[in-house]
Amino acid sequence: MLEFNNIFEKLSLYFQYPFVRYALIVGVLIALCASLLGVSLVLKRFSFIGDGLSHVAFGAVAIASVLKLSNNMYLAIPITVLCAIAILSSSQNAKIKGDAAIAVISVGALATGYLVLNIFAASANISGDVCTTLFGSTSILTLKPSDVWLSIVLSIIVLTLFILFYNKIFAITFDEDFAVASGIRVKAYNLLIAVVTAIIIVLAINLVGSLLISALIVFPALSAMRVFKSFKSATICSAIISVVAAALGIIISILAGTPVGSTIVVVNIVNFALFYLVGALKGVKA
Amino acid sequence: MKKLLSILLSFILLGNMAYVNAEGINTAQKEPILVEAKEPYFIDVDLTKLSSTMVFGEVYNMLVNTQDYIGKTIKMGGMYSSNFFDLTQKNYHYVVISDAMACCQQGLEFVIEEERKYPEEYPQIGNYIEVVGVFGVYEELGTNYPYIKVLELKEKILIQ
Repeated sequence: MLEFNNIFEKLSLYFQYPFVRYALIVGVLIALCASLLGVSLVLKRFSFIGDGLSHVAFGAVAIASVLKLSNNMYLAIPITVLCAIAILSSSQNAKIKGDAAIAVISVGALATGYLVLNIFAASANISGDVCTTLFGSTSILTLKPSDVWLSIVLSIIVLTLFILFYNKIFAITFDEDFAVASGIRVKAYNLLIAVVTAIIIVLAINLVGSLLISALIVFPALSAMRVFKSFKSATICSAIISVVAAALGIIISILAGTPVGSTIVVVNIVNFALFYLVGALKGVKA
Repeated sequence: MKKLLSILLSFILLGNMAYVNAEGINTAQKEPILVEAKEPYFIDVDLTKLSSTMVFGEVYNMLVNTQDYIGKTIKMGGMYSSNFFDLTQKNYHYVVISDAMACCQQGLEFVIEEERKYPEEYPQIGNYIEVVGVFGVYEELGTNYPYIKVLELKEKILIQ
């Protein structure tokens, strides 16, 4: 009981710091946005798109750092969006398809980004900058109010688009041919998904770093799909899991002094294990 | 003969109070450096009570939003570091903290007002120090630098 009191006292002290409140707000919003698209991306077999685009975002952030831009997102978002469009909109007749396209673009961007950072070093601590961008150690705790507002605006845009076009996204996820036959502009909506995914990934670099972004997209969706079979239920459950994991991960990391990104991912892994167990028990009972 | 050798060995071991520094050279261990406060103080920001993740975030906040901390009494603990800058021909002293992954480090400069000889009257580089001081900003060569004006400093000797 005494330990819980100590933890609550520490938390109430920590919440007095504005950067903790900013981290929670942005962390929860990013996790929510990532999870909404996660179900669709997992079902379309694009789970690794998060990884691929995050490497592109890393490369873009590296170039933005060298150019000393006031906010790296001004360059990272357009470049990542372009690459997302190139990957997700690639046709069946493309010479380099699907996973190969992701591999080519992502590895190329990662290597280019690291090379650029080394040659045109903007700070004295290159490995620290690279490590922070890759693993998101404490970047979420160094947000300025302008970063928070930008994240809020972008998250509202993503949420609005998802809610407005939910039915279309549902149709495209399960049966693109049927969607085309129904008169849905599949290419346009695939483009929309690509753009939204790119925005979420650039935002998520601050939270979990480039290497761990896939976890935010994939784990909540997979956990929800263990238990819920309908698209709507799985999406709602995925959103709840993701938000809880992000909030819990941030709180645990500031209490225990652990890296924020990895702590959030570990909480997601634990959630996945629990939901897998629940799903297995449900299957046994049925 | 055996008794003589064991007595000799004991004297050598007892007499050697050194620890090995980063270069592997035995050095004589000096007394921990202490700067005592001349008057009582009240701590406004105590970083020693925060987790390492929080400390990193708060120090970053202090470096970015310096105006919010000027005049406040700060207590922080970290690794002592020092470097000599050719342009000003001065030694600068820092308390350095790392983030949870230890890949990123931040440092805050501290200044001891009284005249002290470096390195004899400063902590051993790499040792843990706790500094209490007043946060301020000074200008040098056209750039503003945040620093802590030391009220109290305690060094903890690294035991290896």
